[in-house]
Amino acid sequence: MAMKKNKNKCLKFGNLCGNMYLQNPVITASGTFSEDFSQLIDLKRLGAIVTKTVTLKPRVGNPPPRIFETESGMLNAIGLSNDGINAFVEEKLPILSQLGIPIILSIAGESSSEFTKLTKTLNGTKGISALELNISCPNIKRTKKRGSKVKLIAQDPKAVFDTVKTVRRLTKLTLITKLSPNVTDITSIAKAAESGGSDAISLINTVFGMAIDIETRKPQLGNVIGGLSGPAIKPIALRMVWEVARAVKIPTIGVGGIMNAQDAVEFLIAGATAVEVGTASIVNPKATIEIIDGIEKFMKRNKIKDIKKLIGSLKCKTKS
Amino acid sequence: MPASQSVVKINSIEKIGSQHFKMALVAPTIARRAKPGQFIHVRCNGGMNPLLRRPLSIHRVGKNYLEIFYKVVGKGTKILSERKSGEVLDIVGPLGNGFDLCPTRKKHEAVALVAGGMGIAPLFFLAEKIAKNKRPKSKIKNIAILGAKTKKEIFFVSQLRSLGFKVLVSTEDGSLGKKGLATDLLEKNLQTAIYACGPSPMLKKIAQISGSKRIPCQISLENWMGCGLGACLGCVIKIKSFKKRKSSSRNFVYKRVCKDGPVFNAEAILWQ
Repeated sequence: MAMKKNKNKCLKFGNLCGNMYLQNPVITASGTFSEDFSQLIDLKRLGAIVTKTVTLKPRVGNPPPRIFETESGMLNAIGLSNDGINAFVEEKLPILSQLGIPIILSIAGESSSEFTKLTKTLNGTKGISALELNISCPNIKRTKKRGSKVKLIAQDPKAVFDTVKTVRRLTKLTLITKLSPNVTDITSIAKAAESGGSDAISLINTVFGMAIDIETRKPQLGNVIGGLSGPAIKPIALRMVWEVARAVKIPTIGVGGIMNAQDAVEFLIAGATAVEVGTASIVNPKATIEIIDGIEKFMKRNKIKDIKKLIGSLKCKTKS
Repeated sequence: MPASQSVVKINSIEKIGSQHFKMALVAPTIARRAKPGQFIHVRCNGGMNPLLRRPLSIHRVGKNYLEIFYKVVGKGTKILSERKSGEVLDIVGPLGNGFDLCPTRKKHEAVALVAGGMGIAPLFFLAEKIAKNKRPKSKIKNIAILGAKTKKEIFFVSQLRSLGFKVLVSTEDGSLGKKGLATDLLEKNLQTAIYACGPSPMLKKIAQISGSKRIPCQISLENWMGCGLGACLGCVIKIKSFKKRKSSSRNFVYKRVCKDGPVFNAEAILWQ
C-alpha cells in the first residue's frame, strides 16, 4: 500500500543501482549528518543516509580550527575524524539500521589495501545497503604509489579503477564511488569507476580551498587547505554532474551546494538520479525534508508522475 | 531535553552599549527547556550569506521568551543588530550541556562568577538561577566579578546586585572599579566554586588558579560552529586524556564545543 501511495514520487532505484530502493531521491551527504538530527526531523522520511566516513582504524582528525565560513560557502578540514569501523558497527549501525531506510556506509582508506581490509571486515555485517567509496576527501594523506603524482585516488583514473575493482570483488553491496572536482577531466575518472564495477557515481566532493587571516598572516584552517562546500560550489557540481551523466551508463548522484528543492531539481534535470544534501543540513537541519516536499510539489505542479521523466530532461541544443 | 528548530518572533531589540544589543525572542518551548550555559543556533537572515548559523548564549529566560545579549563583532552579529522587532528569526535550541549547578555536591556554598567582556551573556542566566535556588534567609554571599577593557563594556552591575551578588569590577584602563584584570580580583576573592566565561587568556589563567587551589571550576567556551548538533565535528577543542594508547603519544582527545560543551571543567582543557 505504501508503495502504491508513493508511486508518484517514488524512484525505483533497484533496477538502476544494485539492490537499493529509495523512497525518494534525497540522501544525506557524508559528514554533515548524525543521529542527533532525529530530535529535529523524522529520519524515516529520508531517501537514504550516507554515514560520516569510516576508516579501518580510529582517526583523531585534523587540528582546529576545522571550519571557516566564506562568502556563501564553508571551508572544512575535519580530517576524517572517526572511531574506526569496529566502533561504528558496534555503536552506530544498530541505531541507523532500525530506521528502515537504506544506510550507505561511507568508507575511506589511504591505500587500496586499506579498502580491502575494510571491505573484508564488513562481510556478514547486516544493516548496510551500500558502500560509498570516499576516494576524494581533500583532508587526508594518501599512501602514494611510486610514480604517482597526485594527492587523491580520485585524481588518478588507474588508481580509481584499481580501488573500485578491488572492493567490487569483495562485496555484493551496492557500490557508489564519490568523485573529486579537483581534476582536469571528470568524465575519464567517472568512466574508470564504471569500468571498475561501480554501481553508481556520486559527485562532487568538496573543492580545494583556503582562507587567510591577514592580521596574523596565518591560514584560517589548522590544516592550511580544506574543502569548500555550500552554495558557492553548486554551479561547479551541476556542470560536472551533467558531464558525467552523459559519459557513463550507471546512475549519478548529484552533490554540491544543494540548498533547496529548486537546486535539487536542477541536478535531476542535469541527469542525476538522486541527490545528496550536505552543507544545507548544517545551515538548516530541516533542509532534507523541505527538499523532499519541494520536489514532490514541483512534480505535481508540472504533472510529472514518474521522476524518470525528470531525470536527464535538460533541453539543450549543444553537442551531445 | 531535546532541541527544536523554530521560526520565532523578535519581541524587542535594544541597544544597550556602543556595539551591544539585547534581543528578546518569543520562544516558549526553548525558554522552558533551557538551562544556564546552553545556547541557541541563530540564522541571522534567510539568505546564503552569511551561510552558517551563529551560536549565541541564552542570556535570560522568561515565561514565554528568551533573551540573547551580543556584541557586533562581524557579519552575522551586524545583521542581527539591524533586525527589527516583529520580524522572525530561525533558531535551533536549546543546545549544549549547560552548567552543573551543584559542582561541590553541597548545595549552599558561595560561588564566584567571573565574566570577561561578553562572558556575562551566559553567566547572567546562571546568576538568576543561583539567586532563585538560594534559601530566603541564607547568609551566603555569592560573588560576580566583571572584567573588561573599559567601563563601556561593563554591564548589569545593578541587576546582579539586586540578585544578591557582591559585584566586583575591574577594567584594564581603570575607568571603572579596580584597574587590572578580572583574574586579579578572583585571586583575592576565591569561593568554593568558580564559573567563568570570557576571552581565552582569562580562562586559561582562571584554570591555573582553580587548579592550584583545587577549586571546582566550570568554563564556558566559544568557537566557530557548523551544525551545532554534534555531527560535523567542526568545533572541537583539546581535552586532556590519560588513557595512553600504545600506538600514539597523544595526551589529548578532541571534544565538540557544541555538544560535549560549551561548558567544560577547567582542569580538563588542554590549553594551547
